[in-house]
Amino acid sequence: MKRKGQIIFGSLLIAIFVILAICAPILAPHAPNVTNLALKNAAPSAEYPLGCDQLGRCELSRLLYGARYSLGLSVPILAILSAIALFVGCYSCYKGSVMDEIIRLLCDIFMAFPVLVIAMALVTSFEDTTACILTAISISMTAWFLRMVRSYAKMECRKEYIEAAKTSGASRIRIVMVHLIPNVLPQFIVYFTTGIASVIMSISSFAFLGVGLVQGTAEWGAMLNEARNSIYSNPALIIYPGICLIVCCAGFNLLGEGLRDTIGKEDHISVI
Amino acid sequence: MRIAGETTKKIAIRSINFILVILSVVTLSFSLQLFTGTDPAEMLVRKNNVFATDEQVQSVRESLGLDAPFSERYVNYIKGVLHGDLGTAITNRKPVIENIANALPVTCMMILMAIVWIILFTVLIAAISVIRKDGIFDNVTRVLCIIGICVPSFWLALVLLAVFAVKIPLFHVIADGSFKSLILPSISMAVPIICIATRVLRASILNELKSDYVVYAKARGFSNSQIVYGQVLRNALPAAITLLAQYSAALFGTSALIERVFSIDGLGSYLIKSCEGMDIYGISGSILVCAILFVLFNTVADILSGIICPTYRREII
Amino acid sequence: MLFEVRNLTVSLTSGETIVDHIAFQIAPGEILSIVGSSGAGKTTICKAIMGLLGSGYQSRGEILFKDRDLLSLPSKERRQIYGKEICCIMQNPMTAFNPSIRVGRQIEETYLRHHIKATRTEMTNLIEATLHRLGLTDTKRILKSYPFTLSGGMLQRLMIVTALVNQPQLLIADEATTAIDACNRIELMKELRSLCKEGMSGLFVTHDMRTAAFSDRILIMNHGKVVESGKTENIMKCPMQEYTKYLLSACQLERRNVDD
Repeated sequence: MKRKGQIIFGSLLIAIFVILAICAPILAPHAPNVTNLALKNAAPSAEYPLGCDQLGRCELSRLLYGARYSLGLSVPILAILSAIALFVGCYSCYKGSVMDEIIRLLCDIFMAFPVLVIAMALVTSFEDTTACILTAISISMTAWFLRMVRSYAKMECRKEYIEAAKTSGASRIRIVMVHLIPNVLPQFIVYFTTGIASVIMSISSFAFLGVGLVQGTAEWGAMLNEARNSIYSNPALIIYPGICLIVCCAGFNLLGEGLRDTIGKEDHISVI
Repeated sequence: MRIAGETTKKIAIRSINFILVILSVVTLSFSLQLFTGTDPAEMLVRKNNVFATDEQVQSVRESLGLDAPFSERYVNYIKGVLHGDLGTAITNRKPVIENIANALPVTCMMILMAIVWIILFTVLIAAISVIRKDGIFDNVTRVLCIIGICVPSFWLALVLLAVFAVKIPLFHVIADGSFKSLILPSISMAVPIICIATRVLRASILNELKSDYVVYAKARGFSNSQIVYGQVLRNALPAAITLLAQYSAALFGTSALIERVFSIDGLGSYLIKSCEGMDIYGISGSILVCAILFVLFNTVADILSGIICPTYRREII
Repeated sequence: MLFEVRNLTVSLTSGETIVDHIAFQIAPGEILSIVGSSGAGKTTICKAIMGLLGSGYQSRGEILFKDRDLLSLPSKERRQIYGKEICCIMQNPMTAFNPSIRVGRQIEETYLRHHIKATRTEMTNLIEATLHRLGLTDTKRILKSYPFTLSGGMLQRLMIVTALVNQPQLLIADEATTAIDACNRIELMKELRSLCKEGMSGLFVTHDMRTAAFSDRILIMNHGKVVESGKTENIMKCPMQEYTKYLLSACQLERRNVDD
């Protein structure tokens, strides 16, 4: 029951954010980037439900548009890179030998290499800064995903059904596609959902450092960065984007956790 | 004897792996300039004078030694690193090692404090929630942990700052590097990791509780807390320690976020500053330190796990 | 009577009955074997006696040890009895010890748990004496080893040592002979039998009639109910129930196969 609740609640949260992101232009009471210095740090009112920020922009509208960045960027790139990681990880793990060793080493290198540096280095030299941070996040996330896929695939490879498939004369690609990937997939989906949460967090933390997005973008992390200066005058500006981030990530994490418990099927029956 | 030989072999493989990782990381960061095609000399000159002529840029480039071919600079750099010389920073023309020596202690202190919080709270919360499984404490901490995992550390830092430095002036808004000033930064770093580690440790303990030796211990009259603290914990800890090492090592790379909130001049800030000026010597130096710490943390974690749990030692070596 | 089970019924909270109105008695120095095929509810009885049933089970009836009902005793007092007056030997010696603690320390901890005032030398002497008695001479090395470096038969003996240092009045062995080979099985049963001669009672659970042959009385169980019970010689010679005959024949069949 508890698991079902987690999955439903998580999915519900995600659905809400997806709808908000898609319908942001309809739902938002104002344009997100229209400044109105007369309304600087205005208190919540009927017209501006959550008040205005330090430049007099409607806070609610900005939050709604922020959902577009978080979800719109994280879900597609993660979908692409995870598909690649799943195939490459399973294949290299099954094949073993030099290729597997090289992939393992690459994972180690990019896990020890701070994402931030890749992102900043790219940003200094390319025009399209959003693409830069996405590239940086993709590189480091792929390393983590590959490592995870490899560890699960390694466990699966030891099982007898793979041996059986091998003795039946199936080709390498066939074993990977038909036997290995479907068995790694459940664990992978769990990791995928929690991965989305961490990508959302990474994008926001870059925006918070002023890396990647254009100054003044309505992105939650960027909004937090700007709100930093109004910590004395209008602390509420710090609270809203943070709560959006937390709830959005919580949605994905709850879904992932719920799925893990369902897939795991392990009962914690013990004497204690 | 065979086992001893095996152990040596595995240690050797691991050491080679470590060296390869660190060397690759340094090479990669040193060649960032090649990938991105930015010219640090130009960035440095144009920062002060937008209308600088090409001759001016060229002269700066020569004075920094950046006109030499990449391969030559790379070989010189690696030679220097082996002798403990990390080169001269482009941004402030001081030796990189000096810059890092100024920045590292604060960051290290902050992260070490964070690790202390993490260990303290993780073990305590996980053990109590397992002993009283499905009790009020367990349920409350479980929900809090799910939320806590999703809390961005920089946001938590801002909120803590707003509450404990602005609203209730217990702490200064700007951290000066003293023990007290690092309490808030270290807590905001620790909270997300505490939540993750608690969940991992709790699951690991629950998994361990299914073992036969728990039943046997129970049958010998040990109480639940005696079993959890005295017997189960040491078998369940390696999973949490490995995770903790990875996450804490990663903190060095992301400490910039927290340092920005509390205006700390630490390693993270230095890294950002170097990146902004495309100061490859500064970047490579800081990344080298990060990578070494990363490897160091993981090794320490493995050794620690081996001491706590002999079965782990058997698996890893 | 030292130990008595009255009307014990164990059921799952979902309603399924696993053990149905079981009753038996054990006198001091007596060995009782509970025999039955897997799923008969033997292990559940042991667990009920040792208080190891999880929250998914419900047990009714009485388990009397020296006229105290273990089922209704508060857990703190119960813990004083387990490991001291009632000791048990687990089914699989390889997994019963905590893999990350030296065997010696695990034995010591158990002893100290029940003898708070014991001095160190007293304890060491007692443990060494007990080890010698079970034919283990290399005591220093054994006590310093981690469980995964020792063999199953060795760990089995160490479990018995753990029980014996506390001088129990009742020893419960749940399938203690399943995990070890035939030679060791006979040795072990002989050892246990001689120990019981000194006043300790035994409750042995097994699926094997040959192991049960070492006991004084036998209780045959099937599907959670007692099928037949009586003195070992009587049951071995003239079994009354079909199920008992079946168990005996299964045992002999195996032997015949070996003889061929």
